[in-house]
Amino acid sequence: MKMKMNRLFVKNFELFRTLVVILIGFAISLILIYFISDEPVKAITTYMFKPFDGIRRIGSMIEYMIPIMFAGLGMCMMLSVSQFNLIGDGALFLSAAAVSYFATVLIPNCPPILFPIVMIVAGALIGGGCGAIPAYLQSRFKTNIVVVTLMMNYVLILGGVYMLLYWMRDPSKTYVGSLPIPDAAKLATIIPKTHVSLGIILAIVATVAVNWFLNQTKAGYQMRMIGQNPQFAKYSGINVVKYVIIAQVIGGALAGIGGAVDILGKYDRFIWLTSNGYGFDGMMIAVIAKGNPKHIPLAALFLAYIKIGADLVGTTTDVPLDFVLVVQSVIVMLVAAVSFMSGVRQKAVVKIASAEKAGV
Amino acid sequence: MLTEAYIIDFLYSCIRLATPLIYCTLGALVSMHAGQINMAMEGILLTSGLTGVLVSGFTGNLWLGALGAFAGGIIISLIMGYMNIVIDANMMLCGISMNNFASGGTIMLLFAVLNTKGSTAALKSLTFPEWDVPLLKDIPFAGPVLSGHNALTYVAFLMAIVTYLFIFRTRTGLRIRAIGMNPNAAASVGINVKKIRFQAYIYSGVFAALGGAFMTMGYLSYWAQNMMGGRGFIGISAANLSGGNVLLGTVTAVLFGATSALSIVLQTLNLKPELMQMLPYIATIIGLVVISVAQKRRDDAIVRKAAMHVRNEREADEAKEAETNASGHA
Repeated sequence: MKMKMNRLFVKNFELFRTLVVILIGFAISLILIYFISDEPVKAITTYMFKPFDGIRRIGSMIEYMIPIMFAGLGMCMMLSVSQFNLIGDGALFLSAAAVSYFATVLIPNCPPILFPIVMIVAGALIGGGCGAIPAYLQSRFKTNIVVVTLMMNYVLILGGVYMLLYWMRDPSKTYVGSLPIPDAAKLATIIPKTHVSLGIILAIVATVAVNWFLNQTKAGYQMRMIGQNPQFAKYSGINVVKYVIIAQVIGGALAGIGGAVDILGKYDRFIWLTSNGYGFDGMMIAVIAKGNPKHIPLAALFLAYIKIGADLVGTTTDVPLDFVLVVQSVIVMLVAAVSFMSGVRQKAVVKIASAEKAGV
Repeated sequence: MLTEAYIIDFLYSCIRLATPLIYCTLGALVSMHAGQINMAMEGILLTSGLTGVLVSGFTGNLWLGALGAFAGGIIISLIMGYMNIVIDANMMLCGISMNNFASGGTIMLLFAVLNTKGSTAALKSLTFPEWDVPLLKDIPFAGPVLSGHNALTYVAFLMAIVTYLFIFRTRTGLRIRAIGMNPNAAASVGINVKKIRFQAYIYSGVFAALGGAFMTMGYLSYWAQNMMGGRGFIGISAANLSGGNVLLGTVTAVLFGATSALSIVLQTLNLKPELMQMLPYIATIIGLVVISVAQKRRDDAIVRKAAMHVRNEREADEAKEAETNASGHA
């Protein structure tokens, strides 16, 4: 019996490890709240249970999942070719801004049904373009992709804010916001009393599509091969540069779709003035999912849960919601840590081996 | 428009804005020589800036404030080192995560200590004094540009020399370079690679911490959330551009400081601030591209030279062979 457990543990080690890390992360968040809050019991119960309290809260979790699933899928594409392309944040922001500009100023009279489709395609093109630049620079000039994409994110976000302030700002409002987005452009709400739009279905379709692409198509296989061993891929005749760039363009496009879908599904106006951190969220869930698109929805659900929990803690108690960033970072690093818990695994393997030697 | 006073003002702010970049560049250089990219620079700036302000505010002692800044930088480096070196998480991922860790962690720390959110404006903290350099300040033109800076600005240039000496003239520096060039070879002669890598992270945290201290106890007199605006990354880029050369790195940092100064000047000229704020970031990307083109040219030239050498040698050999064959026949 114990042996069986050991075997099960070794076989599903990665899964166990991820679960342990998530528990650790959760524990850290509770400890942080406990020490910082003046009313820890209230804050902790809010954090743990309030996200499930009523259809509106559950709805807000699902709403949060939509953009981060796209960002996470985009990151899966980047990771499939082993590139830490972090353009997701900026691509998502710029595409959301550009789509709002198209919908409010440029073509506000587009026919319904066609309207959201055109907008999402536009978002994909803009995101893909954003993904192409660092990918090209990296392939052609060997520039450090992390630094370039982080720098580009500042530029893209400033660009989005510029569009908001000078191209589509509604002068009749005292706050900074774009002109109202026409109803014809919006994605239909599918759960009443919430903002959960058709976007969640699109996100699931995208998950299936990316999973199919990476695992069932020739191009996807070549990308994964490049990710695992670029030298081998090169010598087996794969055009490494081409596929590395294509993967990152697709990744950027997914983030761009995420921005478009988020704006069209949830907002009446474009009001973002800084990054919402969707890029880092996407990176986190892609890392938790180990770059496997199949696991993105679950990882996104987990993140949406702690994010909405933190949000509620931030609005209803004294604790600033930013503690969740600490938790997210620790989870990312521990999940990515190759040697974390490797000692435990080693012991289990030794036990199995010695039992086998003894002839059990 | 382009009066002398204006130019003096501009050059003065170039140096002022370059100060945190120089510290970051030096920190990044140290870890670069150890073969690692310390992406957590931005987080180190943010954390050390806050701890410096808090300690100086509560103790009323500037030197303790500086120590507090060091402590903040070292803590981030230690966590980064643990994650990257001890449990083998990917370096880039650790760096990116540490920046977010610092972004959230500083807000939490501030809230835990002062019970406020967003900034330390409420806390009366100290700043480093500004120095008028005797003699230098009386020189026309150069005087007002180079004199009257914050003490930490002068320390930055001093630290550039210290960094050079540290990397190229000390035992630890030699070890850092050794593991950066070839960790296996270094291990084979008895260097504890993990320990030195850890040390490299810590030293780079110490250098960058001075940058954080400058930002909150010199450039400004308070700390605000996410105030660093990518300065850490610009420092890393400057280190990248310099290819490990401390002097070149410092000069690059000053040039990046100049783009920041230019961006501020252009903003006051009624140009759209959102577009002008992009300048330092775009300059960084262009810089990275330019240097890699130059490097590629140099590498290609070396390859060409080597190929030429091989060909010449072969031709000489063939000529010799032909000669011996000919003489054999005769």
